[in-house]
Amino acid sequence: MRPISTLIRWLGSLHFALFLIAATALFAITGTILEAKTSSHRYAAIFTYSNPLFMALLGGYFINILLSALSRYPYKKKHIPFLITHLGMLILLAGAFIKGKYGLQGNLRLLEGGTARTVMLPETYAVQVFTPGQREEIALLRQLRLQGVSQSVQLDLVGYAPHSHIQYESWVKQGQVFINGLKPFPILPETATLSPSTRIRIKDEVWNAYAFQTEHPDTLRDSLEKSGTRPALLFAETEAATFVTVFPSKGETSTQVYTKERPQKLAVYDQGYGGYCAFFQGDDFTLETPVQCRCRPQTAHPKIEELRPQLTVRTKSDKGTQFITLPFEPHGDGLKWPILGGSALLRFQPALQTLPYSVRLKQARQITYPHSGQPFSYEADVVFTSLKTGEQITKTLSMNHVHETWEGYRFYLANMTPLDAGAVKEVYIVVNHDPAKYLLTYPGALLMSLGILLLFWWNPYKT
Amino acid sequence: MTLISISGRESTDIYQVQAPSEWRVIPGEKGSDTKKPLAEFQIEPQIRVTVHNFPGQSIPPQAQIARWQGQFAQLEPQDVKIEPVAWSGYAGFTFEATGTVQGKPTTVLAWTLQLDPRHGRVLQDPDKSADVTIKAVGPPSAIAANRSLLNRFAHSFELKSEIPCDP
Repeated sequence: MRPISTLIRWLGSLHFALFLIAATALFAITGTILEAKTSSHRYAAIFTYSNPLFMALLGGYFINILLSALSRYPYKKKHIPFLITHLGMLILLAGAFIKGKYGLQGNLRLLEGGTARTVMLPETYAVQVFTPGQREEIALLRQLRLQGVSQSVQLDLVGYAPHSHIQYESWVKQGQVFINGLKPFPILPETATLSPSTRIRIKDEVWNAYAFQTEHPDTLRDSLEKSGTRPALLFAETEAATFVTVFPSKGETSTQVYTKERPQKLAVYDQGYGGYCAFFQGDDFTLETPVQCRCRPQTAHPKIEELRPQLTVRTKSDKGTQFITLPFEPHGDGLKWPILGGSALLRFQPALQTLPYSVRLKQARQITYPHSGQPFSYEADVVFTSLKTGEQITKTLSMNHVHETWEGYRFYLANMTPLDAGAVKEVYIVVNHDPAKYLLTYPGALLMSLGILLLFWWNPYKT
Repeated sequence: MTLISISGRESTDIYQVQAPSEWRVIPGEKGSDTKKPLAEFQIEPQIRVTVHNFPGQSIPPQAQIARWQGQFAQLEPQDVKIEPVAWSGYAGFTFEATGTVQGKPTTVLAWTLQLDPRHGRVLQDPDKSADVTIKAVGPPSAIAANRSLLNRFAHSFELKSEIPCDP
């Protein structure tokens, strides 16, 4: 019994409290240094505030405060301020624990005129499975395990890379040019003599199709123009883009550039279930090619915020089995990739959480000082509709004007782009929900303040 | 202010707008003739406000403005004001011009609006994703006296149904 009572006494002692404070200070110093060295808040957080040891410290504080308060038993009148202060601290810690476990901190991205009901949870990874009218979420846990079940498709994790280089391939894939409806033809290294890779029939004409790997697409185009070969198609593949030039038998030569960034213009078939195509619109014909995403694993760097992980999954359903590698879409706005003959769409992105509200953005604006372009404030007119009661509230959010609902959800205006008056704006709203705020956190802080006030005002230990 | 629903060319009640209750509402006719307004409002005896949409036709806002300018018999450049605007997913221009129409001094206060293409991709109904114009025509003094009401009216114009924006 003696060692146990010694341990209990030590856990409630000033020595243990000092140890906890020193350990917390060490964590804070480490966090500051790591953040300064890596410019990454998330990297620092993994080793500090999100570290299980730091969580254990919070538990240590709880035990220390509780045992220190209990150790004064039997209580006297002079202990009242001390007990109130310690009770306040315990309630505060319990509030912090509940917020960490059950609270919400997410981002809502809204386009003027649009309505959203789901927030994106930062620092989370999930595969969203879309089927017509339905979305299912399979979470990717830190231990690299998929958690969750989809009714439409079975997913098994077969590969993961913490960082990857992502390119979108259109006309040229694996050294060949692909045009829908035609046999692929090879892309050749640039040579002095221009010879066609193949001949293709478009409408009633036979076109020479040239395809070269080059770093000088303009020179190639000029050479072909000078040669007078018409009608002809030229595919000039560079490191960063594919230049497609059409030399019709009548009419002007025209070029379109297809970069390997995420395409801005695509032909979308059956809302994505039928796939995506890049296209060239000629005067009286259209050429199309399927768009694919190519992910190549790269060495991860400490700035976690800029990492683009990739995930390879085996998808299985009654339609068969298919392997697919998905790039991480940190804003959840990338393409949804079709699988198993278009039976579902997949996207690797942060996890989503549905709010008990629908949030509709009417208008967002930048307000400038009179006769100046200097921004004075940013405002967003938002309509909140409770999904439980149907009640509607219109609020104007601004930098220091937060909307808080009765259920304790707080909406902060975080960002707005673009800022021109004549552009439809996209607004980022941070959504925060602390289920313990009114029950524990605020009462705890009040009690603690009251206890401290009483300690100074009453001065109960004065002899 | 009263919330008024406006039908499209084919679909019923696709838009909504807040109009002062004293404005007289003249309901428009459904149909594909885009020359006919979707809704018409009479303010006092002299001001007429019309709302049009143009499903399936993409008319650049500049072309609308040029058309409105062409409706004046006489118009001085200094009496024309064009400003970019955006709200409720629409972007375009406010056009305000004072000149002579059929021998009478007239002010046109109008908005030419296009729905953002990102919304257009979500909406399947061409009626809903159509370009819109809102146009108030009347004597300069009457338009000046009602400018703030007309502005509030135009800025309250929006699609009735929600445009999903979830990731």
